[in-house]
Amino acid sequence: MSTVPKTYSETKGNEESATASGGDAALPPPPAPSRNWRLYGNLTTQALRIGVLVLVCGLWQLSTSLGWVDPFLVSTPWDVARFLVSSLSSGDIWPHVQATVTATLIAFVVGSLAGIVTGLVLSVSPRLNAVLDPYLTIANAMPRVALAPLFLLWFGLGQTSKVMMGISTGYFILVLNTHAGVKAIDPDLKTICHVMGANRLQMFTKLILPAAVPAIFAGLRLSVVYSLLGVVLAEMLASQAGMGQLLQYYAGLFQVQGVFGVLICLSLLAVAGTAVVGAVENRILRWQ
Amino acid sequence: MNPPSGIRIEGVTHYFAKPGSKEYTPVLSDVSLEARAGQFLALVGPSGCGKTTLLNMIAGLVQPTHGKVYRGEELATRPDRDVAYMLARAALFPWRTAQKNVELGLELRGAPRQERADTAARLLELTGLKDFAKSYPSHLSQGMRQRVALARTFALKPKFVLMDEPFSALDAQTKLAHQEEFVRIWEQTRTTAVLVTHDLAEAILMADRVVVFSPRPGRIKADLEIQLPRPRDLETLRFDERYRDIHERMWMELKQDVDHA
Ligand SMILES: Nc1ncnc2c1ncn2[C@@H]1O[C@H](COP(=O)(O)OP(=O)(O)OP(=O)(O)O)[C@@H](O)[C@H]1O
Ligand SMILES: [Mg+2]
Repeated sequence: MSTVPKTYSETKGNEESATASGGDAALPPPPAPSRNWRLYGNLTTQALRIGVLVLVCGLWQLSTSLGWVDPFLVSTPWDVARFLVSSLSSGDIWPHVQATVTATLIAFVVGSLAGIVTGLVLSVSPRLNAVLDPYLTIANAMPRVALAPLFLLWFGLGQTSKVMMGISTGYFILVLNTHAGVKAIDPDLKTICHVMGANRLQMFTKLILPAAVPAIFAGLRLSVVYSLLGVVLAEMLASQAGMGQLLQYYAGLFQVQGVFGVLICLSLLAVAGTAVVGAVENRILRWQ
Repeated sequence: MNPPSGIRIEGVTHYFAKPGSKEYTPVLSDVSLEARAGQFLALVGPSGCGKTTLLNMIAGLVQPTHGKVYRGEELATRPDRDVAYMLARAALFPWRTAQKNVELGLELRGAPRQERADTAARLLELTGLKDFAKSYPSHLSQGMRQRVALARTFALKPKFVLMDEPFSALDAQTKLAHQEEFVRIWEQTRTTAVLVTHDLAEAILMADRVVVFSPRPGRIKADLEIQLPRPRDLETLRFDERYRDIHERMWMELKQDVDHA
């Protein structure tokens, strides 16, 4: 009620000034353009986050120095940090990082592409899908990490084994996600495409493929991590180089700080991989 | 501009298989109907009486169990580019801007970029969305999306416009604006139009002729020419004597079914 103008002439005056300058003059200004840093949380959240880290490391350090747990078994944050600094600066760890990252990248790219293609083919061919569905279900349900010994037997200790392992863990995620993405397409969009006279190829390029993209990216974010998992697992079983092998090596020597150090590097790699996929996704899926 | 053609439905009876059994549900029962070229036909009837099914038959998406459906002289056995379809939900492609959505049909026909852009610009102007050409559907209101769908519908200069409750998801005011807008565009093009609706007022105010269906299996119960003069002013026509008469009569037809149900 308070916004009701008091006099007729006042309203009129406002209207005139509004139209004179394009209609927006009477409005208060729009909000300042927002920035992305909000995404990462505000200052308090940041501070609390660091607080959690400090707290965990502090408890860890404290419990070892007070003798609650044996530092031989859990190491200490300080030792882990020292290990990380020395192995990163001496460069000892780099060949292993390189071996793991290369194998993971190959596995991720090959496995994901193959998975996307398979998922799309299954989606556009209901017959093939009906035939293969039970086998896919079985293959997907099988704990595929158990294939590792077989791959080692077939492909030896070199890069091929771990790449194959990485492919087998990433591939099915993309098959299932791509397929699910296509299945979830709004039937109204299909009707519209049909009625507008789209042929099969156009149906694919204009509807099926773009509609599946969000589900494909959800799959890619997972398969980065799972490819890394497959590769590291193969390396742990047997290989000439790689962070998985390094893990086994340090564990064998009871160098727990080494194990934790490598684990931290692996987590950072996984996070970095997911972040890259996420960034690409944000660029491509701006329409969401 | 394509010369308009009519629609002819001859003795259509249709069954749908009941899911998970060998039985069939009759959905349409001996429907015969002929719409002149350029006629605006409205179909009303209780839910489930087969209106959408009939529309799908005209679009060539569903084949009748018995009987024939013609678009012009041609049997409607498959979808055709002369047919435009508008649904209750806008069904826009979320990864396409408003403009690209309007261009879709032309793109499918391989029309050159400039022609597509010109057509889209003209129709977005006509539907009052010029400033939103570059917006994605997720950034448009419900009503704006439906207007993009309207622009897309007319971008192909169709011979037939089929609409399945296109205004049902809109609020009363937006609805009236859209109905008027549609009639205005339709009056310019005079395509053969079939509107399925639950809204009796909408049918009478917009169409040349209203066909009332019985409950499932749908039969034609009443078929009325609406002789209200065009161009029509939907807002004032509501208070017209003739409108009230027709509305009353149709209401009685539909009411009988409700009473019996
Ligand atoms: N693809 C289908 N398979 C099986 N039954 C169907 C199919 N499509 C529709 N039906 C059935 O046919 C009947 C008529 O459906 P239709 O969609 O044509 O009704 P409608 O008149 O459009 O109803 P509404 O006003 O609620 O939209 C319904 O009983 C429905 O369950
Ligand atoms: Mg319907």
